[in-house]
Amino acid sequence: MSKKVTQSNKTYQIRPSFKDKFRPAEAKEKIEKILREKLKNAQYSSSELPQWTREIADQTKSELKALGKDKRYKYLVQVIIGHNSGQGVRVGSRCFWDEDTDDCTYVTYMNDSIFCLVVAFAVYLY
Amino acid sequence: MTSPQIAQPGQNLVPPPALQNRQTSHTLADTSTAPLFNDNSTSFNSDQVQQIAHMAVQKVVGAENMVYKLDKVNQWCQDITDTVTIELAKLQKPFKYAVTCIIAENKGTVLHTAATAYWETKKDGLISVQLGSDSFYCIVTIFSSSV
Repeated sequence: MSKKVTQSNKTYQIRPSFKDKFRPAEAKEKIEKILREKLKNAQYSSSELPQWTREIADQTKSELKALGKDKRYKYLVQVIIGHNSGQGVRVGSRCFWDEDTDDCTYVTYMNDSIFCLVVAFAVYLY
Repeated sequence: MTSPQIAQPGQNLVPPPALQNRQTSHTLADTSTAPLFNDNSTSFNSDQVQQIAHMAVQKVVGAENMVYKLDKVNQWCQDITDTVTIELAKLQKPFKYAVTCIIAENKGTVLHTAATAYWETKKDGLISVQLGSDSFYCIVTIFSSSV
């Protein structure tokens, strides 16, 4: 029965199916892996950081797409990297969206020299 | 001419405000007077959003002689994101918003941020506002994705 529905073009579906829903935990794992690979023993260098931020953002985006969730999901990614020198940083976020379909996840990575935060949002397009 | 007539009975059902706006903008576009009614348009207005972000930051941490305080930052961050989302919701546009706010102590260190998105580039918008003082700097990023 369910096969029939997925094969048809007209499903009139306005919500992702349970299987295709964005799962923050799943995405978190993927992002953690990227950060571990990219920033292992990384030292602060002002020339390389801008490139790293962009690379991490792009990789995160493509990993999220590769999760193979519902095709109508939009992904928003923000990466913050800074020099870890004991200064205070506070990041907060608030969203105005559909609690049921949309979700967000974040990953932090820290070593003696730098800290990195990745925030990813998945927003469903009806 | 037929589309507004079809839209009429639908309005009796009192659709949500966002939907109402969308219908009016369609009829306006048909009469090619859309630019005059930019405030009613359902498209992303980066100026407006930027203003909102500016205003929120000024309101919360804009006062002179503000100094970074560990026990206050949490509250500031919450206030800024709250104000921005509430103001954005008041625009009554068919958008979903994700707002992030970074407040970092200014000790001469560097902070890099990058944002990417996989979305409809024509409809959706990304705004980032940076304001700083001697003691800290504040970066507000707003993702708005059309519904």
